[in-house]
Amino acid sequence: MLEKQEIQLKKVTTSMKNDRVLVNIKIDNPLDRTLYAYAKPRRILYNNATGKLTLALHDQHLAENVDYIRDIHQPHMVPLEGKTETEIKLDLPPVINRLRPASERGNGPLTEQLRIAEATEIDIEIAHQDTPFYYDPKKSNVRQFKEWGNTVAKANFKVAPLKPREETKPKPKDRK
Amino acid sequence: MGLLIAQSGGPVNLDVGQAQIDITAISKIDGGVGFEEAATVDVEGVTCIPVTYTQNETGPTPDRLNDLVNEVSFTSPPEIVVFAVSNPDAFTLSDGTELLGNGFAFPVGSTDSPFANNVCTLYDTTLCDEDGIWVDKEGGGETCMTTSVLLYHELSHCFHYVTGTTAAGAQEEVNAEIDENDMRDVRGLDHRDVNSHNGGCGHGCGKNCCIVASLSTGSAFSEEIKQFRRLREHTLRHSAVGGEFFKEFFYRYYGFSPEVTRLLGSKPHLSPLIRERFVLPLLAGVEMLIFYADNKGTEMAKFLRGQSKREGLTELYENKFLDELSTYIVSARNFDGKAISVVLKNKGKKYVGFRKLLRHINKETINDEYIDWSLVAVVELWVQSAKLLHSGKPEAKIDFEVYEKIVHWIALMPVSGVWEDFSRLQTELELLSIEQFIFDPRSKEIFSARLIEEHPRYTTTIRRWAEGKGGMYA
Repeated sequence: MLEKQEIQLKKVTTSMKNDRVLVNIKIDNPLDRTLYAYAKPRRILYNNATGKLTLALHDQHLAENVDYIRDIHQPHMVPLEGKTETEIKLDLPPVINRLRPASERGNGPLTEQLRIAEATEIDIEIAHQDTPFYYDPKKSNVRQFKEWGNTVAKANFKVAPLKPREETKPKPKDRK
Repeated sequence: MGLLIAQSGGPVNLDVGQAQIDITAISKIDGGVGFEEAATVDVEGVTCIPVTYTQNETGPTPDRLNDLVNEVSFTSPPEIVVFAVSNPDAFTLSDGTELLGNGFAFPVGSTDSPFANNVCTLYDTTLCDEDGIWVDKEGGGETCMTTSVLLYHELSHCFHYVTGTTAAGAQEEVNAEIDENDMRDVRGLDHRDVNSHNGGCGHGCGKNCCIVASLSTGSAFSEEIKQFRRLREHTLRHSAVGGEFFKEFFYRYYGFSPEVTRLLGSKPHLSPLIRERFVLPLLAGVEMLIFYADNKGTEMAKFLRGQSKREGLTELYENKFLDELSTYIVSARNFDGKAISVVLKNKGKKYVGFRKLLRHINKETINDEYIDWSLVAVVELWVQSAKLLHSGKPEAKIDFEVYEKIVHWIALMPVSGVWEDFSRLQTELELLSIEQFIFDPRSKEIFSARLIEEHPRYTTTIRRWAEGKGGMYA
């Protein structure tokens, strides 16, 4: 098991294609051996006010005991060859709908819309390990996902918004 | 009321039609299932469609549905609300956890639940964006999830909530998987290993094949469905164009089939009619097309004669049946109310709802080249070919006429946008790949002209292929 972050998140580029947000992450594995990493986000956070997007390619946020039932399946994994730069390509919708709990929404809208295409910075977090994930029927899914992915590489990148920030859009009366 | 389907969730795409299909499948296509779309109710600010159920079918899954809908073992509130989410990659829980590939069940009082006083479940109706979901199989290996099995699993948790029978720790998951296996029996799927909660996306567990065909033939693994899968998995899908074709086709098919499935749910007597007059002729047509490809269009009359002697297909080759089917196809295309009335006159109760089905096919096929080309036109092609056996024409003439019909049909294969992304080399390789079906020079000429019109970037490459000159890989 890895004891510290071994991969380097070198570069992030973003683009729009067919109204989807494409996020390409270049990852350097400086070790001699192949490592394995989550290939898709398991948690997406975004703050409409600050423009900060967090893409967590790990399950470290999952509490082991929650007051509801979740059937969470294995993450997608990608091999990161040793001494090589690998690119992970994420294909995301421009708007994420965050389910609002009853305590927050009352009888109001079910979801909060997170306009991630307007992001100006992205926190990338990627769990990685030196062996592929193997399921252990003796442990809960969440426990073993967290144990396997406890080494997380993190980096912050400034990006240009792919869509204009909503609050900066000109009002109709300002248009010529 | 006990069980409801969330209809509007703000900007979330809720797939009410899929939820109705899945609930109908849970009932074993019991005609007693109903969806009160005109009598929606508000549950804590969410508009919901009540499910009604008068149980006729027997078995664990109809029994469970009856419990849930009619509150046999509990008293509402709470209601149980189903959220069928069709854009799961654009949907997270309040803590940012993605729904994609997952299912959730919330009891009353859960801090993360969207409801304060009701139970709800959310499930991914795309099955991991159509990659499919696999789980560990009883006895080793893997078995696939379907949306109805996934919903039944989550409803098991909901049932335990409302009846106060939720087990502690991992045992709750075991109990839900034991229940899930009842639904697997209904769909003809392998049992899940209840001692393993392992699962993930992909592994060839693509989205449920052919829901209408599965329901009308009674099993996800009937011979008819195996043939559909054979076409899907072992022929066109190996190429990028074939893969894209099936993606486009499934997108439309899953938009088209909920209404048919709802019709099957409310009028189960239509199932054998749909099997005889649509699924079996379509499969016979698909088989004919595979033979055409495998034998480069030769001996078509011999093939049809062989097919007409096979058990279960002989009746389809009767002239009267073929004439009737021709009329249905014309009616579905043009929706000639008068002609339909004449054909359906004196047909009796088993045809109730058939007119509505023809109307639906008419609405869905007029503007959809994928559904028309791959479903309706294939049945039409087969009917016209089969009728030639009654024409008294010599074998060689029948061979020629069947071949000609297929040549013209295959040249009209829908041209998808995937060609736009190809390099010159990829374009050439894909053209060589589809030559498995499009090999006649006239098919190639028509198809290439259509392709060039849509995607003119590699006109020379496409023309060379059409002229049979090939390229570096030819």
